[in-house]
Parts: sequence; structure tokens; C-alpha cells
Amino acid sequence: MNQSPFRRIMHVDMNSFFASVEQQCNPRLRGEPIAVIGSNKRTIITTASYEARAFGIKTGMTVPEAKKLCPHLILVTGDNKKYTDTCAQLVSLYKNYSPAVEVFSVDEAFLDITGSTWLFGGEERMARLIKEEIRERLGLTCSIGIAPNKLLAKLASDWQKPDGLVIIRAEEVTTLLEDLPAKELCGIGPHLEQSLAAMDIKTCGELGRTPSALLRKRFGVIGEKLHFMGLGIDDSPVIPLEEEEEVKSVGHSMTLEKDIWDRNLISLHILQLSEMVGRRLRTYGYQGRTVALTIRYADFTTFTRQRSLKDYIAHSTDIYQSALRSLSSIRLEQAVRLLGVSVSNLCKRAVQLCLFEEEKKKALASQAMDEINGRYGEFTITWGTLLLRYHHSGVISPSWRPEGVNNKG
Amino acid sequence: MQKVTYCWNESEGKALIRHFSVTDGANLYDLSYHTAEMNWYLAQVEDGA
Repeated sequence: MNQSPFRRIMHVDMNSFFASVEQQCNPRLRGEPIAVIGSNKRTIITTASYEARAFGIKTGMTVPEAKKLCPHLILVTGDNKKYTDTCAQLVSLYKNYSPAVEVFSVDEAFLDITGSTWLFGGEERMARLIKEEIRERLGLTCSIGIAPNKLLAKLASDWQKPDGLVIIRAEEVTTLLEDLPAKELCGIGPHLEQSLAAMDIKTCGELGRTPSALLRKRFGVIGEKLHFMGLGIDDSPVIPLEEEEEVKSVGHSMTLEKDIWDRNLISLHILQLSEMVGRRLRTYGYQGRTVALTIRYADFTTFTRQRSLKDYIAHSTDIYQSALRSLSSIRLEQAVRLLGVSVSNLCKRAVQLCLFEEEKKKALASQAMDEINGRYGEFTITWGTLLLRYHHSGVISPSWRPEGVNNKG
Repeated sequence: MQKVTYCWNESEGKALIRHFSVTDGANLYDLSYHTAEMNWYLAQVEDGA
């Protein structure tokens, strides 16, 4: 693995993003322990402000658990449109500093600043300018890490929160990593950490000294990558949105307002999801041949059933029918908490001319609906059965991007 | 109005909706401007901001 000695990567991590946006919107919330929750009826904490974190409140905690730690915790229902638009504003701000910006998630981005630091008087000054501009324009703070690669830049931004700036120079990497717990590296989760510990590998130094052949034998293809991670080597490029690979699937999921058993109600949600997926497929000119239905039970057990079709489809009703067939093959063991529909095995613009009158009518109706919804907003026109559709606040998927087919809108 | 605390945009079909969180010192208001209709809306009021 070759790594350019001159490469400089910046990782920007917005601090307590959703909570900070809410505190900016509402001055009464500033300096207060607040937690953003998905919807009023679901009780999981999405993000907590630093004031709330001081009480031990963490993402994923239930509201009763959080309230036990901090009885005066203020709960705020999240507004994803506000956060995704703020992310888009941040990305356009980053692009003033480097053309190579990779949106890692709604609150994190990588910038390849190798060629542009000299324009801003060096990397430290550039980072301070970005922090200042974010604070001035949006009132938000971020932690910035600068290092020779993405792995180390992300590690550096984690070291000082909130409002931090950590710079790792190439010559410091070996010393910094020697005693650093391997779990601190992005990509080494609790499961992998345990497996490494079983091999007596706890620190990055130990990981880097373990022969890649041994790691490959234990972990397969990622073994070699783990060895290089231990050495602080990562040659993965910063991939701007316009250079991202073609999408492999298009999907939507929704956590339901409450857990449900009723198959008719489940079918209704599947129809809504099928319409959302179909709309995105048609908007970007895709069709797919594999439809997957994902179900999550109340206890978080999650599974997916998928079926591949003979023809490529993009009509919402075809997606719906296929997902329903998957549903009918499932014997529900618990109430359903989350539903997801996705279409994969995609191809672009594989238009099949309609042979039969019914098919032509369906295509024309679908086209007319798309035009109306495209002009006046999603679900302006829809099936009568969806009139009482569930207006879920949803979750911002990791694949969300400020624009393009990945945009969950 | 005392201060615009935050602004964000939302798309609704082809129309752009500009949201403004504003405070008069006592309450918080979410005012939105629908760029296609050229209308202002009071989307939300929160007491005691």
C-alpha cells in the first residue's frame, strides 16, 4: 500500500449536530441539557447536547433512561429537513476551501486539502477559517482533524470535542499509534475489538506488528487492511459526490409510530414505501430486478426477504406487489417496529415498450402522477388508500447525500 | 421581531420554501416563504422562547 508523504486530509465533524442546530434556532435551549428525539411517540435519543452529555446521556438511550439521569432534560422533536439543508450549506462552504469534498454522513465530511492549503496560509489557518465561517454563518461548532489520510484525520477530529482542532503530522504517526487502543480507529467496532483481543491485540502498535498474513487468515480480505490500519496507513481517496460510484440499490425505511401486527396496516406502509422508492427510481431513470422487504421486530431482530423478478421494474405498484409477496411468505413472530423496501440489481433506462393497453395506461398514469408530484411536492397525488399515510419523521440514512440519487429528500 | 436565529430551505416539488426561525424576545416563530406562491406562512409558534 503506497501513501503519498505529502497528502493532507481534513475531517470536519459537527459537534452534537442536531442538538446544536436546535439550540441555534431556539435561544431558550442554549446552555440547556437537550435531547433530540425522532418523534414524540418513539422514545430513543437521536442526539444530545453537550450539556446533556455531561449527565451521561448518550445517543440510543431511551427517554426514561435519560430522564433518570437528568430529570430536567428538554426533549426536542427533530426536523430532518433542517439538518439536511444545513449539511448542504456546510458542503457548499467546504467547497470554497477544496474542490474535493466527500460527505461521510450528514454531520461529517472529508476534504482533500493537499493542493489548497497554501491558498489559505497553511492548514492550521485554513481550519480556523472554516471553523470561524461555520460559527459566523450558522452559529455551530465543529471539531477538525488534519492528518496524512482519512483514517487518521477522523481519529484526530475525535480527540478534541467540542470545537477542537488536532493536527497529526506524518512523522508523529508511529509514536501516536503505539499505545492507542485499536478500538479508537474508525472501522474497529466492539465485535472486531473482541476478536482482536482474543489474538492478544489491543493497541494499534500491536495490530501494525501483526503480520498481515495472520490477520488475513483470521479475518479474510479485511485482514490486510487491519494490518495497515494499525500502522496508520490508509490510501483511500476522498471521493467527491460527482465521482461516487453508481448506486447499487434504492431504498427507504421507516420506523413506525408504534409497533404493529395488523397485516393490512403493514401493507399500507409497504405501499407508501414502494411509492417513495419507485419515485426515486423513476426520477433518476433507474429500473431494478430485485425487490427486498426488510422487517424489524419490536426487539430489534431484523431480517430481509428479497425476490428477483424476470423483468426490470420501476412502477410503484410492481414494487409493492413483489414486496407483498415477500410479506405473505413471512409468519410474523412479533409486532413490527420498522419496515423497509429497496430495489437493487439496477440498470439505467431499460425502457420496455408497453404491448398491452392496460400496461400503457399504467405507465401513463404513473408518468402523470410523477409530473404532478414533481411540481407540487411528494404525495400531492397518490392512491386513496394512502390518504391517511403515516407522516414519519424518519431517520437520515448513512447514504444520504446533499444531492443526487442517494438523496433521501 | 428581535432576531432571526436560523434559516433553512426546503423543497416542495419545484418550489423552494425558505424557513426563518425568528424571536421577538418572548416567543419563537417559524416563518416560511413559499417562493412559487410568493406567500408568507406562520408555520409554528413556540411560547416562551
